[in-house]
Amino acid sequence: MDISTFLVTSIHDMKNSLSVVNAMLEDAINQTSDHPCPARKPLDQVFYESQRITDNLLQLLVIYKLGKGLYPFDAQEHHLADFTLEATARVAQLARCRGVNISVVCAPDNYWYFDRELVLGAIVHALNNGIRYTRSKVCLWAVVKDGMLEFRVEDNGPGYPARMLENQLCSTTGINFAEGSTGLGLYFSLRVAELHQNLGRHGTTRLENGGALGGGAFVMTLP
Amino acid sequence: MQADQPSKADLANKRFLVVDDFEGMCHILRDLLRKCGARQIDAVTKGREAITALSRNSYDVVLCDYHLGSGKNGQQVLEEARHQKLIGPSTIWIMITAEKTSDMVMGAIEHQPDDYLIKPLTEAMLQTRLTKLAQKKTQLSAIEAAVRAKEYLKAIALCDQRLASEKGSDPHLARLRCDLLVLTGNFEEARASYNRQLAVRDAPWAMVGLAKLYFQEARYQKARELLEQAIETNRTLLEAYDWLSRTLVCLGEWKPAEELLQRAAALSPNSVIRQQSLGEAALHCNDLDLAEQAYSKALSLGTNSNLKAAEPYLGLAKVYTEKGCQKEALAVLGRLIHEVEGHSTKLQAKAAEVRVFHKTGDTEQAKLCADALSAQIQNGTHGMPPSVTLELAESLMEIGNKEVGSQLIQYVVRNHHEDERLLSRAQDIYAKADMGTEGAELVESARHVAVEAMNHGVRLGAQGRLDEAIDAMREAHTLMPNNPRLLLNLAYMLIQYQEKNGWHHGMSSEARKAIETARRYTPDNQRCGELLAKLEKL
Repeated sequence: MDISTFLVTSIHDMKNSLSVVNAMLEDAINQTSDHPCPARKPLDQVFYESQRITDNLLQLLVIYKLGKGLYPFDAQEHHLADFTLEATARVAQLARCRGVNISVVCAPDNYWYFDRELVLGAIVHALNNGIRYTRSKVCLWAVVKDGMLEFRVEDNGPGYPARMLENQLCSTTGINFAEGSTGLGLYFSLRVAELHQNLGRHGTTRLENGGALGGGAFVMTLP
Repeated sequence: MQADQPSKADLANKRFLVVDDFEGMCHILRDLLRKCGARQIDAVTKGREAITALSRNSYDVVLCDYHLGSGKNGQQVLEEARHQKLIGPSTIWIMITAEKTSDMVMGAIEHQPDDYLIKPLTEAMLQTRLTKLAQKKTQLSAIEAAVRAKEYLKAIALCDQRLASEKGSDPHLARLRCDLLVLTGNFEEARASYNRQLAVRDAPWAMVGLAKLYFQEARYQKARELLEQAIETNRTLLEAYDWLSRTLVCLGEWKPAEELLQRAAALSPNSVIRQQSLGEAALHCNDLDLAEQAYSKALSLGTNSNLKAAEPYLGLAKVYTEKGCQKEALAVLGRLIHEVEGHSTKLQAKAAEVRVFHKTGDTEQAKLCADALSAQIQNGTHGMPPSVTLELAESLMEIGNKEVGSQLIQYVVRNHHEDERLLSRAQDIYAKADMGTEGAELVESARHVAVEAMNHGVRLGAQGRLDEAIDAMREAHTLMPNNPRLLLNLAYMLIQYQEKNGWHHGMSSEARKAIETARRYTPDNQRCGELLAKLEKL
């Protein structure tokens, strides 16, 4: 049997176990929130790491399925206000733990076409990243510009290192084990963006510094 | 943003059913629902228990895991609940899965749940989706009720109203509207609608929709090009695979159809219809192992379903026959009789037995079986599908019972005198029995009988003698109860009569029944839809 079959089924299994772990952790954290508890800080850290692993596994699975032509890509029209609410809800617990304020900028009645699960994966990943590197704020923008939808995840942290800004298109060159960055998230986001095509245009991703909050900004556009 | 927050009070007076085979998950779902404001929540861990709960109580929302361990899966529970009318159009059914699969994308609308949720679930996700779905249900309930009452024109008008008043365009509604247009034979408006969609957005459903129109107009080459293009850009678009394989079969390209269905079955192995089509294609290509696999899979998938069909049993029996395994073939036919309801099931099984005995060299036994059958099938009201009837006829001819065999063939020809494929199959059978010339005459005369009976009625109708025309059509109908053209002409006369003399309950239901029978045999006939629309306008 092909080793990749085992890899994939194991990843799947691990992801499911972690989902249960995460749900229980979230419960445990909420139970400690009313009174001071010495276990609180490490619990927060465990929760953050566990979410990161879940995200990574999910992205690995999707990338595998995309490669094999097995991913059921399905662009549908989605209400952007609902979508951004769902994305920020996914990271709300983490933001609370870290004392980060999350805001959303989105017109109340906008709709756009995209594959919900894929884009949600990319945006949640960017939000997690933002929460990790920001000083105090993260903002998610969803605006329609020049016939494209633009998502921006901005923060008021130190911004992306110059090396990442230079190499951003070939995202795998961003691997830096010392900094704990594998480039997986960026690669995933790029694949997701490029899968979205309409009337000859396709989606893009890029990294910037600056933006409204003055820190790093992850930008994804969808046709 | 705050204004968009759903109010928790909305969910407090709704009744929820949670179905998940893993009790831990039931607890998590219960907790989540409570956080969203729900108060009345029941939970069960098995499909069977879900059906019981649904028959005892009326639920507003069902949250059901797709995988329920052994027994029925979530989709089968949904289908059975709808089939037994345990849930009405206002019940919200949410399917929960661990990952996104091709089955969730563009299945048949009537078999779809209202939404899929992919784990992990969060409170915010559940809250927004539940509120959205509840809103949608209220908005669409009038349309859904019209569709269920088969008032398609009314449903289309309601769709138009909603689409005109919506802020964002709702693709589900646009798609439903197109489906309804096709159903009522309004191909031109449907085509225009698909093209409007495609001008702004590469929407796969519109591409498949256009291709389906080409298919229904028998423009198979055009349908094929469009479907191949759709699959090229959406490699998991199962609906396109299914339509392309049907198209290829119509073009006589069984091998490519087989390969395509294999790819589709690998993407989504749990469709009875798809496995059955794969079995048929593989049998045609003489890939017996593959055919056996596919038909067996179709059978085991059907075990927990209330929508069992005879075809996979008959197909599997054929495969075993080809392999020379008489015992296995007969066993499958025995199961068919016991497991599938329907008035012609037993006859079909018996007819297939004749073939099994004959093909496995047991001619004596075949003759005995055939004699026992003859009495029941000669008068023509046996209700067997035409292809099964012809297969039986072929066996009868081969074992020397040419008289009954020929009668059966003529019966099929009379009833399907415009179906070129059945006609040429009938000719083949005669040719194989060394009755080529005679057979051609018999086929022609049976065809002629049908045409004559029809023309007689049509002439009367054209002279305005509608009473007599209807009587003539009814008389012809007893001679050929399944002839789609005749059925539609009869319906047309009945409708004309009512247009002149006012609506009449008996005539309307007679016309509807005729149209529905015709649609069973020629599902792609535009005229079925047009007449349904006329009928609704009365």
